[in-house]
Amino acid sequence: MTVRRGFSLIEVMVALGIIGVMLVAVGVLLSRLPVDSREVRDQDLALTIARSELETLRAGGYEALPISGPFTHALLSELTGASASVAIADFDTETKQVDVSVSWQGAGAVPRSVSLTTLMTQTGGL
Amino acid sequence: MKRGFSLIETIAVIGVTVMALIALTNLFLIFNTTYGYQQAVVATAGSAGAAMNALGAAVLPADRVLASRDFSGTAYASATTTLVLELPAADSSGNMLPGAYDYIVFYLSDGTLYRLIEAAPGSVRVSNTKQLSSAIGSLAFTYDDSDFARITKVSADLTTRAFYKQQAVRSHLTGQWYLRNLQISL
Repeated sequence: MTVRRGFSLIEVMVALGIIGVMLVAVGVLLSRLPVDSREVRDQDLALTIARSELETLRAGGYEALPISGPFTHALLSELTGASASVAIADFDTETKQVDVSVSWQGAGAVPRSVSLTTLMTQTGGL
Repeated sequence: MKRGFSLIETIAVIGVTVMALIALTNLFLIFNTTYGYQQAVVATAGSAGAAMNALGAAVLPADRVLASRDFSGTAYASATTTLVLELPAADSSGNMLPGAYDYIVFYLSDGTLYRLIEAAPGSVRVSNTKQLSSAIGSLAFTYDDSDFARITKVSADLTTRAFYKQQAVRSHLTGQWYLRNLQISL
């Protein structure tokens, strides 16, 4: 006896469900792409700002190190809700530790920050 | 006994198929848009970052900014969109080559930023021309002294631009570097 059956309703529903889940997954992945690339861009900008500030502080030298506090940079306005600060602490009697950090709001107003640290001695140039 | 499909079955199957096709087409269109836009983002942000990295890597080890120099027949003069640098040459073991210098020029041509290296014989650097970014919107080098012989700091302000379906994507970066091998007495 050769009875040819098609798919049962259950089989079709399961198959459609699986395909649906895959479509949703790909959709979610796609919607994340621009967000992620924005995050990468922001992080790159923040690093550029921090590096630039460190370069300025290094060029000024040990004697010209400012007291801890906020600093400004032309690129800060390209980040959402950004602020930047520098923290100077004594590492030892002839060396200071310089921390430069940049904070901003990432996607979904999640706070993000990057910071760079260096040591500067009383003697020696850049 | 072989039956065909009933009308209802056929309509249901066509309906489901059409919906699946619409969803797939939509997904494809969204993917296409996202991909195109991301390409533009990468072209701007990526090449701006790469150009800045290349600039930093050349300015930091330089010992001076040259007012102008002849690179195998073509003269380049440092200005707002051109930067000519002289760098002490070193061999592959890291030993300095006394009196030998590598020369690097960054220049803008038709909205494209190039880096041209002319390395001294035996230098670890390789003579070549590299395209850093083809999406330059604006570029401005500024120097801390109008006398090229007294320059200690080079700043760059760079904007890259790309378009995707009339939508502009732009990226703006600035950088400043002090010449670490500065030899002049100020």
